[in-house]
Amino acid sequence: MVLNRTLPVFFLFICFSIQSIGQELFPINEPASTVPKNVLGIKFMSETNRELETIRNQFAVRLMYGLTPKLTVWAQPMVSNHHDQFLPNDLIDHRHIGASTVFYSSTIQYGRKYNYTFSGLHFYGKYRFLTQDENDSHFRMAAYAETTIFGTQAHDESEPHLQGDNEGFGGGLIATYLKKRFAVSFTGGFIKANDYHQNKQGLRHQLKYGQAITYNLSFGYLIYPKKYTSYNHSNINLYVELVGKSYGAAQLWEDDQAVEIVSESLGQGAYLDVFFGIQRIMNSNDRVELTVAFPVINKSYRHFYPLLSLGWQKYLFK
Amino acid sequence: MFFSLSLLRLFRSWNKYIFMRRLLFSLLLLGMFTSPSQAQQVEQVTIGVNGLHCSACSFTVEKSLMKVDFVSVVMMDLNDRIARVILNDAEETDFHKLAKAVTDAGYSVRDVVVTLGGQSKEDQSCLTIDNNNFCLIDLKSDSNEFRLIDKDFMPKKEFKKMQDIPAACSSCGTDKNRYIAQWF
Repeated sequence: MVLNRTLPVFFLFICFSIQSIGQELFPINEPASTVPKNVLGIKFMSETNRELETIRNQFAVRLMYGLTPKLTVWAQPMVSNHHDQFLPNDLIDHRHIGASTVFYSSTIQYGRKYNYTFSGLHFYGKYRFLTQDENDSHFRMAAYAETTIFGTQAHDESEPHLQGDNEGFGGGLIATYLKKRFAVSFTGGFIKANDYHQNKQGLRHQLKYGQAITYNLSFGYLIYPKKYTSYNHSNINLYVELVGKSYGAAQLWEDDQAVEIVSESLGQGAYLDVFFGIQRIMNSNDRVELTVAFPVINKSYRHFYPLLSLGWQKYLFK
Repeated sequence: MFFSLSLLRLFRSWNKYIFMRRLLFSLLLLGMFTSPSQAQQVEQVTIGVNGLHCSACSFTVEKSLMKVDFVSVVMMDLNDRIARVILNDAEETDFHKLAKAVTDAGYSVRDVVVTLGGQSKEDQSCLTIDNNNFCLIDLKSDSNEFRLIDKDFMPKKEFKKMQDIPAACSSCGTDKNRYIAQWF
């Protein structure tokens, strides 16, 4: 109800007050613009949500580098308490039909407490292949590829997620348009997660996650300053970012026997979240941002709501 | 100072032949020591930058320009999206390096305007400053600024419209360090 009121007001605000210089430094989605050549950037990120009585956290450090003016790469190690190192024991249930036993997936108990463990090393590369810069606007397009390795956690939902839950790879395209104070960016991509294998107490399990397509739309607007007079001026930017994903159902095997997928968290799904963000840039380099996410269409099983994200980024100029 | 000393020595000389020789020598010295103060030099380079959208981006361009070896001072104007660059007295000045610094930072060059200092320009279509040859077109007698014409110094679309201009400049110095420029 609150969203129904605030969203139209926000969009009207950003569409009718375009004046000077826009913002595309989105907290959640990447713009098509790239890191300057030979510049190293660092970003600290945290993501928090309350899962019943348990606080789920993820912490990450992103080291980014401009290999060329058009090619940016980063490495991002991540730590979280999202999952155990093995699938939950209550993930698979069974029933007897006559002499046979039918295994099926059941809804797991949420709110379990897990230790903080390394949740993977994420690599990302983005190449800006189209640049149409004008005096007060630009349109840019980029292609990206990403992969996550060294994951140690047993992600127990079908939705694949490379920044914290799954190993795998992905890629896609980004188109960003900026006009004065207003910026908009669309990202479309795919995710292919690696299967998860475990051997626990003599039982072998294999979980094949659903493949996903992603569709994200970001809006950014510079609210302060109206006119720059100094690098010491803080910038304050507002963002609305829509993050959507459609994914297939997972497939699960126990000792090579297929497990019927019944639980919703392992089924196919699609959802759209909205992230409201505010960002402050100090001394033209220190970037601090806060976002909070709510569901718009359906919900992600990967996290509870609201999802709170904090970030701090800086370029380390030589 | 040097010229005054030379004249003093001239008046003390009683040998007409020596007097004439010293007069000629002094005039030569006069020419040598007065011509640099009249010579034109690059006072400032103004680079229009397209794609700039925030103070952090402007800061990035400034940092990139400051890495260029012959740049002394960079003053960014984010409201007008321009970089004002003061050059140091290095012998080699390559304006393409300035353009590359902007693109390395992730932005595009809208224009590069060179402002001349020193004595006002003479009516000439060819100018040599700091080992660079400028072939100048569209002469304007009241201007001391010209913009450089090259694919590195302006949007590609605009440069394509000016393709026939370089042919008229083949007689202006050598190809090396030759810039086509238009009075601004």
